[in-house]
Amino acid sequence: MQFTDADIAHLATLVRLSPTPEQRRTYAEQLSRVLEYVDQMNASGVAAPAEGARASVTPYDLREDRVHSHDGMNLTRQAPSREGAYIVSPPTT
Amino acid sequence: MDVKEYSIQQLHAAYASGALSVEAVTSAYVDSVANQEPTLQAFLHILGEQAIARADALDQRLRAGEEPSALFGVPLAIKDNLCLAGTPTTAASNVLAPYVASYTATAVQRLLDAGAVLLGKTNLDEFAMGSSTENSAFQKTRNPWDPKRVPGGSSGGSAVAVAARQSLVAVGSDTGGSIRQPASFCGVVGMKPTYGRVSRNGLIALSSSLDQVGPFARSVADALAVFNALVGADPHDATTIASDPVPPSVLTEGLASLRVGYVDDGALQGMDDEVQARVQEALRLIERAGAVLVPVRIPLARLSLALYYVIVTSEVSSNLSRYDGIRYGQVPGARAASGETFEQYTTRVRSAGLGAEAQRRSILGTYTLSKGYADKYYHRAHALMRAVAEDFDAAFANIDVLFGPTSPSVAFPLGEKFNDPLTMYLSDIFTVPANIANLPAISVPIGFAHQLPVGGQFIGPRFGESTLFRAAAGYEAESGFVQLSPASNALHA
Repeated sequence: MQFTDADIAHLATLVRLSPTPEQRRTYAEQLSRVLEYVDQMNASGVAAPAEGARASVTPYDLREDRVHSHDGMNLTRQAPSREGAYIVSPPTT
Repeated sequence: MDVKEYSIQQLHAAYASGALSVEAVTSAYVDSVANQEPTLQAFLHILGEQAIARADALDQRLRAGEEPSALFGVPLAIKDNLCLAGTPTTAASNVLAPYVASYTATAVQRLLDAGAVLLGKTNLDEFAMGSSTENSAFQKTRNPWDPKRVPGGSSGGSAVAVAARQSLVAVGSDTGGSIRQPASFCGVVGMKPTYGRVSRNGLIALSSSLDQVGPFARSVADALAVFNALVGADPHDATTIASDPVPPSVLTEGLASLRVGYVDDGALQGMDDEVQARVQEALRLIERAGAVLVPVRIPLARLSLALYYVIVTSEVSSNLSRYDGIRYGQVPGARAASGETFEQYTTRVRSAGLGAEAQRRSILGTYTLSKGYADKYYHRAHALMRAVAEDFDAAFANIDVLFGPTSPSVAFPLGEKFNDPLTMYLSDIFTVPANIANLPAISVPIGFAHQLPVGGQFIGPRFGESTLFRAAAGYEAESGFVQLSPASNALHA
């Protein structure tokens, strides 16, 4: 697996990062090498995890890997107290 | 004799006889920190005034007839990913630069309750991601044996503080070798307990299923004193278990009749020749001391580093998602611009606040956890993790402890591996298996290569810290490499 610039851009969006084009090129190259090393575990000949073992790790289906945007104004309108664009919260110590 | 060369036991004897005060000892260490920081840069936060005030209070308690506790008047440094109430706790990240902890980590509180005097908080790789302490957002810590070289990481500041006599003992965190590898590079003792021994409450998470807090010291006995103060169940960390302290009597039981395993399957290939020679010499010394050497094969251990980087990056991508500039973390001046969406704001804060290694690991972890690849990477790594642990368990059916190198090389020059993450990761190839198999391990000095310290690593069975400390202390007593000092040129010969 060789990461492309588009792969890095997509993954960065999912994890809320915005690397520069130069960073994306660097990360793609570096992470491709890391993944090539990591892939030795897939070539180890050790049996793949059984369904039961896998279910114990993640007992639910993973959602699609895409960015979900929220309607921020709709959320803030539900706050009990607001001041302009800000939500008023109780003082904390 | 310089008071900074005293062991905990020697300090306590001097306190009891009135030959030394806690204030005098603390002042000597505070001065040592101040004098060496311009070169070493081991500390992110120096707490000199608080330390002197604490020392005065302890002296008053001593004069009032109080019985000294286990770490009474012992100068201590802690890694800056452990929370201390009212004190900056940055994990060496810009995203936490303005953060002041509102509570104290259980591990730190236990050390303070045992009487330790806290000198300051030490530098680390950002969020403990790294093997050289070069990933700190704030400064690059130098190795006291050669300031042009790295101290190892990620707990490099703590290792340097102990090696350079800036502190008597220190604590760090070890997820894949972050205590043992810098201990090896700096010529001190560094120990990772079995996962569950020490509370992670108040430890800023890197990889929650692997992180563990442990001690640095200049002798195995001092490391044991700190370990015993750290361990025990904590209602704030459900993964902890009740633990009896390891009795100090194990320190004098010696190596005789211990069955010491060593890996005999070619896994040592790629090591520096001189480092390998020191390991072989250490094995011969262990045998001369009466231990039985047992060749063992742990074939799946070679996969540990590969699956480690799947599990760690997956957990990093999750753990670091909290630094969104709202719930946790901020960059000074990064207030939401008018009309900026939540996604735009958090992306801007995270991109400015997280360093390159944190970004790389977050991106890779997002990939290994993604719907299309989680089976191939994350789930498979977890299955293999269990298989590696079973491989070690089979080996421990025939041995008491395992011995081998801590790192394949000595401390490397600053910058040499900084832009090559994979090569940097490979410096942890001998420490990671103990984390993956959840075994306790300790690095002790075993000599020099290229005029730099070399560490050897004992690995014990799960919750077998008594045997581990016995073996390490037995080796230490036989070898004479106790309390090596970077200031002693004779040791370079």
